[in-house]
Amino acid sequence: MTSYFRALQCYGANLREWPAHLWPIALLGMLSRRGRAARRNALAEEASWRRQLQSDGLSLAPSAAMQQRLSAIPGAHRQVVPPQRPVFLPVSMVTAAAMVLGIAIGATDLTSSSSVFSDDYQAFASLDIAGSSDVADWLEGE
Amino acid sequence: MVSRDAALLARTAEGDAQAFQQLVDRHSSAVLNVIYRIVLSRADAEDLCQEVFVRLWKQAPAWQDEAKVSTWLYRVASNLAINHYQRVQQRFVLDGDLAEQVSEASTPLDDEPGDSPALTAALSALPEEQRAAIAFRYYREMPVREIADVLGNSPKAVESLLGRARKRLRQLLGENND
Repeated sequence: MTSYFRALQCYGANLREWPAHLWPIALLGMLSRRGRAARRNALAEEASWRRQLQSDGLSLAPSAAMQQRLSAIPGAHRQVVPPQRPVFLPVSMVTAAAMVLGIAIGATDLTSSSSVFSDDYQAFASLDIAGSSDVADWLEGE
Repeated sequence: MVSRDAALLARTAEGDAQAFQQLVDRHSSAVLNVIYRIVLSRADAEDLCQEVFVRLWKQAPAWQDEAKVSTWLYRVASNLAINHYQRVQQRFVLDGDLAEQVSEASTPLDDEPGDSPALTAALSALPEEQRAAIAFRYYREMPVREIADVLGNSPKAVESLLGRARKRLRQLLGENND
């Protein structure tokens, strides 16, 4: 019941203005006599204030001079064009693109089909830089 | 579903002056009245109302606010009106010799249609934020939640503003409704 009175104070007596999640509380509150009376009082108070404050019947209409000033706005002021945002690819997209490129290069066997790579590799392989053949000869002699 | 205002705003964003004029026709009177209820001066209200629509025209192409056009207009209008009122008050307070002008500035001109003198005096004695809440609630008849959206407050804070405003008005108008 406390929530009902708090909501009544916060959102006013017009139950249609209450958030949807408070409607069950509104229904429960309306079941009690005290709840109904509180809402009636709140409605009466709202109406009284509205009547009192609107009693002047004042409703200003824009003057002719003002209407002219408002009509001149498009000619007198430039619109703010939003700057184009630079295109940033997300990291995941860049990573995926790099992986696809790597797989494609591997699948086409690009490096081994190059004569530069293959010739150099043959020449390099024939060198006995570490002297492993000497060691093998020595072992055979032993 | 695209509302009429949203469609007009989309055309305004493309530089369509006619669409802008239609937005002006639809909302200028309401915006003017809300501002007037806060600054209590027709001349200032007209200047500020023009500023609101200048901002709408300028910012239309970069519009990203998901709020309704009317909510945006009221938000800008109330911010401008509250800031204007605070600036005017500050200016007068800085110059002690002009203290008398404070009361003149917050009183509507004689040739303006206005509230009853007692009500006008009571309204002018309220802080500008409370006056804004009163203007939206009782002159525009807006729900508390919408006022909260316009003023950038919670509904509870708006109801608190309204409660304090009503209490102060009751005191000033010499009523004993409690």
